[in-house]
Amino acid sequence: MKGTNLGEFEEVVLLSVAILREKAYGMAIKVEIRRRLGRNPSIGALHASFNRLEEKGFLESRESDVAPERGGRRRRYYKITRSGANALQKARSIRDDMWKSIGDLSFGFGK
Amino acid sequence: MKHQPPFILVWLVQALSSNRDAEIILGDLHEMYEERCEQKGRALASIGYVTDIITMLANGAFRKDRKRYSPNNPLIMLNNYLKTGVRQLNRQRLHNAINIGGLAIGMMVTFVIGLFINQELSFDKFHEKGDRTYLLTMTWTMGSTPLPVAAATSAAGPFAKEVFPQVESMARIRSESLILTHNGSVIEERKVYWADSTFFDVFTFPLVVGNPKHALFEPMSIVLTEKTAARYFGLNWKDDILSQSIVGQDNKNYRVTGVVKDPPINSHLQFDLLLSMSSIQAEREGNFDNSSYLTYLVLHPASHPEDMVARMPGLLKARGATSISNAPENFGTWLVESMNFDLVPMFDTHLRNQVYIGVPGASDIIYVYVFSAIAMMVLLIAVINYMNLSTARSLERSKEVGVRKTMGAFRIQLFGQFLGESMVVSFIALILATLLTIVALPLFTRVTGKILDVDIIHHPEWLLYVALLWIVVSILGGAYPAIILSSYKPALVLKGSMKNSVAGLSLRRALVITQFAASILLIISTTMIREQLRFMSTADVGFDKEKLLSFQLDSVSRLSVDVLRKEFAATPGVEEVSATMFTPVNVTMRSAFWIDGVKDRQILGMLATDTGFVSTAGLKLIAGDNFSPNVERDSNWEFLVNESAVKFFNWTNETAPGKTLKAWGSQGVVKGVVKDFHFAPLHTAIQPFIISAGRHPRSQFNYLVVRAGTNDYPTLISNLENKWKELTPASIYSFSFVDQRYQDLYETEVRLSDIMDVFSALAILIACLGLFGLASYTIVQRTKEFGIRKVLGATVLKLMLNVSGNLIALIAISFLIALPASWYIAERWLTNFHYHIGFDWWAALLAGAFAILIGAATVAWHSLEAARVNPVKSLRTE
Repeated sequence: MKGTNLGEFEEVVLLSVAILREKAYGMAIKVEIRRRLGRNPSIGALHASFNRLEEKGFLESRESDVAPERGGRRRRYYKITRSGANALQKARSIRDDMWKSIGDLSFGFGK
Repeated sequence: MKHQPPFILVWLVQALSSNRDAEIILGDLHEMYEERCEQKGRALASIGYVTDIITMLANGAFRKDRKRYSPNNPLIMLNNYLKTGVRQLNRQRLHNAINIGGLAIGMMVTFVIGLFINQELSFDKFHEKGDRTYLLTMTWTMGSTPLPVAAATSAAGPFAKEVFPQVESMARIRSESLILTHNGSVIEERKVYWADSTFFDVFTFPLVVGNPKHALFEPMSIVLTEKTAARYFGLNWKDDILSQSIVGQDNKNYRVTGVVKDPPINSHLQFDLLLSMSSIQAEREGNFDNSSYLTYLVLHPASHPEDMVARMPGLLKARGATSISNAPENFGTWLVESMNFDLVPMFDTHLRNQVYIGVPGASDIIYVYVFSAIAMMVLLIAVINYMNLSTARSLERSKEVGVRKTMGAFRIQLFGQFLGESMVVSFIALILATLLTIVALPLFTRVTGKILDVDIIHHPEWLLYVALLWIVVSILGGAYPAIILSSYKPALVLKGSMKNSVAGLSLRRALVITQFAASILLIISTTMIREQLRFMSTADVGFDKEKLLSFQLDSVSRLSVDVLRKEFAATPGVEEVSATMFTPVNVTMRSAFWIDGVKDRQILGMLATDTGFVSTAGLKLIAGDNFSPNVERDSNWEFLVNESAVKFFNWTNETAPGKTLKAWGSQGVVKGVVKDFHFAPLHTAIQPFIISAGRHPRSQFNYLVVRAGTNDYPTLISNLENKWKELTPASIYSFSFVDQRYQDLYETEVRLSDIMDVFSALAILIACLGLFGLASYTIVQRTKEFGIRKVLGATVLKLMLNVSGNLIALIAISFLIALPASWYIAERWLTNFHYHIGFDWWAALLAGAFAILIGAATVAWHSLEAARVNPVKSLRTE
């Protein structure tokens, strides 16, 4: 299995899946990222990311019934697994720790 | 569902993605496509779709399906065969290089010869009515020797057209040279046909400009080929070609009435200019006594040419002889009686017409056979290499066979695998051969003078032949090794109890013998052809060909022949000059003679000359006297006869002088007898021959023959040229060495010999390649044995003999096989020549020794290397 570290983009994808809950499929996630981050990830990068996260065991997927707006094709909905949630949690706590070690927000500038 | 993305892109995504992802990815892409369509329109949305696909590719978002192995999937096995095949190719580079190189050369030879044969067989097939077109030929039977000629008399064609309703159309052709002026210079056009107005009706030579019905109708009409038109009127000749005319000798004006496409290479009629037959006055008189018109008849379908030719003499007789001939006295009746006709299918004129004299561009079907045989031999040698090297190395792959069989491979599968490998090898050779052919074709053209027409676009069937060759070679070379390899018993092989690849050892030897027998056969044949050529070119022909120069006369210079003769004779370095009808090299003139009370009329070889001919040419007078000096002013002729004529008439050298001969326009007395000389190529025996001198019209003289008394030819020739230009500036100056003209007689044989040289060299090269591969392999196998032998005291020389002795013995055996075969073939070929060498056993032996030497040299290097290796090293292998 690949390492359990999360890349930045992967973290964003996982968080979007978590926010969207039941409605997390490819296009919805793409729209969510665009809305929240103001950047437009390419569909290729997203799918590659899904594949990777599924391989790492952070995401699981199920397929829906056919959706007419997709030319009669099914959607693949993603859900965060327990280990995915753990990984997000871990990433967050590491960051929190690091924030705490800075102390205040001065970063040592301006003095 | 309002917009559908382009089908091709959907298909592309489907092809790229795995089955389980395809639908999801397509769905996402579709949504984005719809969105973009709303915002930016279809075109940009499609571009967006493409960029999405690219980002998917760039991010590696397309996943492969998990492999599902099926025990029945033949593709996977095939993949495995391919892998082992490629590894095999890679591992044994030398072995494969020999195979591929040999096969490529063999195939190249096959291609070139195939093209050549194809062209030979395609001759004249482009004529639409070709299958119904016949050449009307004649056989003159006067006296004892019939004279078959391709050309008929001028009246024969029209007569046939008139009396036989089966004749659809008829055209006659007469080959002449024509003097034309262009931009102030005089040009002699040699490829000119005087042709009937029906020419374009009989033959399919399409006109680019002009009306095929009328182009050759009016007198003084001329039709040019495209090439000739460009030569006279520049590349823009099309503009107003029909208003042009060309000026000939005597200010004759030839009006251009058409331009015809250049005759294809595979046409037996090759011409630059066509001139309307109506321009010749003589033609109208309808002579029956001069065979110089090639006459072609197109018959209605389902006619019987045999019946027609059988009835022709009778019909002619009924017509009345005098009406058809302007011959004197009752020659007419006699002429009719001596004529026989035949209709030769036009398709046979190029290759299958060996009887009739004077068919233009005639070749011989025998060369098609000879070259086919050569191609097959060379290819066979190459294929044998493949068989030999593959079976010899079969041991190396026996383990693979064992494992495959244990895993459940059927024999037929293994057979397919090894056959497939040979198909791959021969395919590579095929590609290489194609490249080699492209290089070799111009060389072939240079050697043979045959331009080969490679028109693959119009002949896609050639690709089929090439594919066929590929398959045949693959099967020939691959089937046997495949049988051997697929026959191994896995238990034996895997236990390691098969130590040596004895399989097919005796066959291998037989094949090596076959290869070398074929090579040696080619070498000996080549040697014999060379020997015969040397014999012919150095033969004593009975006249001094080395000392003679000849100057061709045209209609202008003929007028000055007397003054030219005088001035030439006065030039320093000239011994003597003679005006004559032909150079002594190849006298094709035949004439009828009547001999007082001796025999019936006879057609004999005849040469009209002046009085100086015998001493100029260097003929030997063995009885009687030379011509009297003033006979050229006399109304009676004088004759010299050759020994054969003396024998023919049952005279003796003593009684011959004084006999009277009656000839076509005159009569006279035999003055003397000259020693037999070769006035025809050495193919035929010397025939009775008569040299005449008398008041011959100047128009009978075609040559001035000069006997040189100096070795400084350059000065002599330039002096004579200056004189010529000064005395007859408006004529064509055309000079040649008589010796050269003599050598030109054997051009066909020289070319055959050149081609044979190349092919036999290639054959022995391929055979040696195979031998080299075989030797290198056996030596590697026997490394250990050599080590032990050396330790036990064998010398390097002994080891070398041990290795090469075997192979050299094989070559010796093949020599013994090739010898009688080549003796038989050479003897057959030599009978083409009445004067020929005997089979040269020494040369044959030399050729055999040469083959053995080459074979020995091939194996020597390897065996020397193996024999010199320190036994410590060789015994440590494994």
